[in-house]
Amino acid sequence: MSAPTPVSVITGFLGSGKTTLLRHLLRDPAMGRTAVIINEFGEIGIDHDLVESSDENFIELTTGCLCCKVRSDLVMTLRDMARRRADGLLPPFERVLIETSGLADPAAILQALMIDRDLAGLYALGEVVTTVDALLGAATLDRHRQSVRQVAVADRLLLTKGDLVAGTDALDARLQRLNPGATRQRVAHGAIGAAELFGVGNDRRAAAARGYFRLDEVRAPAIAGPGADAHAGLHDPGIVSWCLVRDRPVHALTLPLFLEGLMEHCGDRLLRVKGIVDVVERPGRPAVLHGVQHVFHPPEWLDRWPSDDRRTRLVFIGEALPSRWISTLLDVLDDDVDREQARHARAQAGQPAP
Amino acid sequence: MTAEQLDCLLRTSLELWQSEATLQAVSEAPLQARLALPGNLHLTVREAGPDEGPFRWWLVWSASDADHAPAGGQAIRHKPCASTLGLLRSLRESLGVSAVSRVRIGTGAGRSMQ
Repeated sequence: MSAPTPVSVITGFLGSGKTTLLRHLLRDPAMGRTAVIINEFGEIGIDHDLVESSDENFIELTTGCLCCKVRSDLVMTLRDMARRRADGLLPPFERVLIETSGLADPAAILQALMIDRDLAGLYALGEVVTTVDALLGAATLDRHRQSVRQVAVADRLLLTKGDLVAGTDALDARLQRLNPGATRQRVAHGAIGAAELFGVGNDRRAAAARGYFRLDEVRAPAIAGPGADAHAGLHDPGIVSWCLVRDRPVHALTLPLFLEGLMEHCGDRLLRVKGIVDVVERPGRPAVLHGVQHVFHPPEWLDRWPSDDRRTRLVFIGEALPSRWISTLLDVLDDDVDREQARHARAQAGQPAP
Repeated sequence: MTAEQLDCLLRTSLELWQSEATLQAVSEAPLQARLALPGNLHLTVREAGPDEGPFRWWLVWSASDADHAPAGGQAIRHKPCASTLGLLRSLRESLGVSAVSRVRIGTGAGRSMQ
């Protein structure tokens, strides 16, 4: 069975430069075998006409906002594309690129890609790129909650129209607070190469080590103090990011328990969880966790640590996150697993309980 | 688990669930917490002893009078929990708070990093 086709997503608020970026990318020879899905909000699509395309790998969805009809339109489109590719009716595309509408909540799209049974095995979620207007981005974040959510789920944040603004320190700092695990980069006129943006042609694991999680850049305090919640993003009421840093490795069994508890009791507050975990049972091979709302990918096991920092680091992005509760939950569950394993070992050895 | 950790878990969980119940006290040896529930009910969360395996926690309801007895018609009810997650779930359900969501693992081949 062939490897799943990576599906990358370009999102960003209205007018933030998505189409300009896409237009530039599609001129890149490295994107030659890329199928593009453009979603526009409205009855008459315009973006499609703005993007020059030399092949037939172009599908436009104008039936509404993609995130609102994601089950029907996107899933059906992707499934149909795979079938037509298998039948030789479409060129053998090796990557799919989705440009969402500016009003889309990308979390719904990402969830569909992660959990839909019809897409399982055919596609895998790739890079999520969010464009942010360097000039208007701060005001957009102030006024439009959807733009905050778009920033929150990104793997990579592109500050577009970088040629129009001299200094973006404040916006940059704000994006760092909102999504400290995402890489940030300034671009002008959408000028960035596909290899740089999506790692096209790079070794998969090398790409992971290179930039999938830029957690070494995370410098957020682990816990603010007893009873304190994460308020890193004070300018974006409700949406905050917080990084849990843990020195001790975590038992493998603790991870699903932790995620279960996390989702069950505060899953409605979480937009995104991603991070790297030092697992007791696999020393030297960290697990990469990635979740959107209450949906998680199976852990990705790296061959080695991407940097000298070998601590568990998990970035949580969401609304009014109970940071101390989250870290306590991880601690007590891991202690419980530790205790149960010790009890089991004693029973196996015929030793009495202490 | 320490009393401080239990305090944090229970107190914050009640806030997350937007429950009217309140945490009154947490003590060690044995580790336990006492909650006041609506309707003049009380609930004690107690860590199970080493000879009470496989249970990890006990929930013990009590009412100050028979009119406020919890469901089941008895003035006192016990419920064991095999894990800390089970404790939180039982507690939430007993407070009538519906579940938020359960974790789902994606069915695909994992995240692509090509």
